[in-house]
Amino acid sequence: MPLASVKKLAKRSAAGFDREARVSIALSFIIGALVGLVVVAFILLTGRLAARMYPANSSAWRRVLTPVIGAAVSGWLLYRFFPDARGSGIPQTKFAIFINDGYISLRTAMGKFLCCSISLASGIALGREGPSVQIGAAIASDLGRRFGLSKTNLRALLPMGCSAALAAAFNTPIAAVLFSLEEIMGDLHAPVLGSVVISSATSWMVLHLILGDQALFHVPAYHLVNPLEFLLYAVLGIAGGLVSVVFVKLLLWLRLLFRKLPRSTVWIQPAIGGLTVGLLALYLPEVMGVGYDYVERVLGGDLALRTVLMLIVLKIIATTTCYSSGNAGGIFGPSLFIGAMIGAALGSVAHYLFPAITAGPGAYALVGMGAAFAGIVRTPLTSVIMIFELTRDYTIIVPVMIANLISFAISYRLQRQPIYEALAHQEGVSLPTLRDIGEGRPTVNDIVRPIGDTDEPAALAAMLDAGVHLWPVVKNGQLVFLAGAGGAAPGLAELVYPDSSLSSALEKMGAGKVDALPVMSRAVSGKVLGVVTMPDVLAAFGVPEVHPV
Amino acid sequence: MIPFATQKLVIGIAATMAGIYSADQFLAHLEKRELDAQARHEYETGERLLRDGRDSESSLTQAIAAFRRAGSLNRDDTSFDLALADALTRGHQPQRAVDALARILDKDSNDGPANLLMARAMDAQQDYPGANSYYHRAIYGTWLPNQESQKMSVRIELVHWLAKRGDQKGLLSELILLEPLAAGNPSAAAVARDLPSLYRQAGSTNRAIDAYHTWLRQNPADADAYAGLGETELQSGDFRAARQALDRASELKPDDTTLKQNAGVARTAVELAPTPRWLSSSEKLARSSRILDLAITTASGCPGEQPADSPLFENAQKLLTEKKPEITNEAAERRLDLAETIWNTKSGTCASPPQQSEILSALMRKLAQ
Repeated sequence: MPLASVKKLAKRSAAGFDREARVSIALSFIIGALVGLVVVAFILLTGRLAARMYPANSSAWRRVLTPVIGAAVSGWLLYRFFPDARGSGIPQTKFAIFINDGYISLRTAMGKFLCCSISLASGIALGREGPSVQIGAAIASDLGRRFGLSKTNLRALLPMGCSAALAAAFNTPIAAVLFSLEEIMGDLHAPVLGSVVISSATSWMVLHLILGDQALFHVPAYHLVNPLEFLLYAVLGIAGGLVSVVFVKLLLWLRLLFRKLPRSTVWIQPAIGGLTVGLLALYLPEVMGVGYDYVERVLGGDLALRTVLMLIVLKIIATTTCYSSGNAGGIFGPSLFIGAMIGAALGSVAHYLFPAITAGPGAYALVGMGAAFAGIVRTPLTSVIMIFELTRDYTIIVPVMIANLISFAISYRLQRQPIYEALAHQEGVSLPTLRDIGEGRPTVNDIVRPIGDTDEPAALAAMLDAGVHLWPVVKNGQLVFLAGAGGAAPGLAELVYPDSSLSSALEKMGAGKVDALPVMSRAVSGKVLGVVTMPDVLAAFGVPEVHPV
Repeated sequence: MIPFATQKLVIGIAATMAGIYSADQFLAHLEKRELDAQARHEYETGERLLRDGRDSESSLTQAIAAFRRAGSLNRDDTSFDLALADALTRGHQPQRAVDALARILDKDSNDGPANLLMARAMDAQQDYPGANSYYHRAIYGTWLPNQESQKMSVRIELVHWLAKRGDQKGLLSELILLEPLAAGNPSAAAVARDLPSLYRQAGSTNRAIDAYHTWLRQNPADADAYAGLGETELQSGDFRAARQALDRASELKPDDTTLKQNAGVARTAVELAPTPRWLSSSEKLARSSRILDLAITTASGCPGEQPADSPLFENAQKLLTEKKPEITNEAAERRLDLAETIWNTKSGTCASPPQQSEILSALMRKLAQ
């Protein structure tokens, strides 16, 4: 090719890149505004519909039937039209970013909006924030595609949609940015930080334009009465951590149970969640819906201890059943609810026993919210900032930090796999962890040797050809065993994914004392995409091949 | 070339945003209207509960819950939070009231009604300096145009609060400020009537007397005011004026025995007063001897406090029983000194005849002057 043509092509390519960067920045504003508008509509619609479908002091039959019918209708819609709109939306968003090249269909967003509006308005005990995140990400994805962005830039748009959605749903712009980086991207130093901040701020401005400047919860001004209270907040952190583990384990166990039911029942399974909520609501109506009204009441110290204790148990049952039965809705709101109740219960007892050295139960409810959120969602930094932004009360921030850290540590110790990762695993998807991600650095995908079905002789031949001591035997795309490694099936330590960084691959080779690793698909459990070898990794790092003398 | 935004796409996005914005505005308007109506209903329920329940515990609890619901439904209207704070204070939960009010005052520290309620909550918490401070902030705070008269009510409430607390200095300074403001203010008619007695509580008898005279010029048939004036004059040592006022009060309320007794005290005080300049030495000696005698009689009603054979009583008895007492001012002074000493040794709890005690008390105050 003549030099002039190469230069022209390079110039055009650079211009295209610049144009994409400019469009991405412009889109961060548009995504912020559009997602903000959609999420505000979502909040208002679910709120108004809920007030009509199960008003306060409604009759018993209404409390039972409304969630059952709502869940059945949304369950059928999910089964028939919007299968990707099930659940909270966070794992699905991460799946889209890391595995699906940033693709979420607009149909999914519309399905999520419709089904969540129906289920949340009918009193299903799930939250609206997770779904908002998926809706936001789907809008960002759709806009990016319509503007013809490349896959890399499309993927970078999704965190913008997430932060915009969360900023509008919770009225917490800073926590939204942190959540997008900490949980969705798994990297607080992600290069999309600037755009994520812009979209979050834009969405927040839209929210203020329409709904005014109000924190999600109004709480009395709390303060630390006595330094000894730190001990009580530490106890609250322990309680929050333990309850978080119970919540997560119960949810995962129930989800497995529901997954074992025949596929033909999938459309009606959400109704079981609805029936559970309805029956529990016969006893305690507060268990229905997101329950932020009651969180506000408990923050004001306005619920009796017995009610609060009952609500902890009933809300855990209601939320885990609703989620695992396949209803559309998130667990952010319920985790805040459960945390507030734990805190209020502990605070009531502490204030009764030591009135002189303790603040009111409301202060503990506030700290409990953060502790449960940190334990269940496993984003300690986000939870601290979120509690601060939800309440705009700075004085309680140190107790929140202490309780969150303890809750996070207990939850991590007793349930290693975070909830979203575990849920994705149940679906046969391996979401990347922070350690795996090689954003901006060379990844396994750059040097993978693709392979198809390989029998044992072919594997041994390929092994010798590549100069390594291990090769996967693959049948129907699935890993059968590793030839040359004693025939054992590989553990998690001996697997890498296309988006894993080369350094993480190298570490895994060192840990497994092997010189080759199978590259697995994140989207399809057990599917082998190729092999990565030690010589290829070293070559990618610029280490010259060493031949024995 | 990458198919970047076409004009059609941009217009489509703008139209979508405009459409959703309109839907949002409609929904937000609908929500606000519904929540406002609900909040108003809850507020009225709370008010009715307070009105009908007369501060009974159950109605207060229900009213607090209703106000709280109203406040959480409509956060822009501070009147719900104010009603909640008021109910919490009345329901013996002042700390919660303080917390609720702190939130309002964080937004507007000059909010008059919030400062007033904060003062009441702090009073209930026995934080008196805090309450005093918030009363003053309420007086100088901002009120709605139709609530301007409330400032006068707050001043009056503060004055009564200071009187109840026995803070004479604070009370006097507030009364001095209040008096000119209350003059000619129809909403402060009750203050003009209470002003003299409040001045008395503040320890300013002269201002109290002036205030009584002012009031009586406009209300010459007010027996209670004459009675108050008489008692104040008695306190100030102007026994003649006291007698006149109390006699006038007795005329206006002939069936009031207490007034008659007080008039008797004033009359006796006039008869025994040893200080008029026109008194001859013999008359002065006679009066001082009667005062000393009265002191001994009063003190002997307190057995165990001063034995009757104590040197003090022996000296007093000796002076009274002198056959030919020296008729000089110095002799009268000695008797009065002794009477004063005996009076001062008597404890306040001693049960002596009230009338004698009142007479001596008035005389001793006069002598102390």
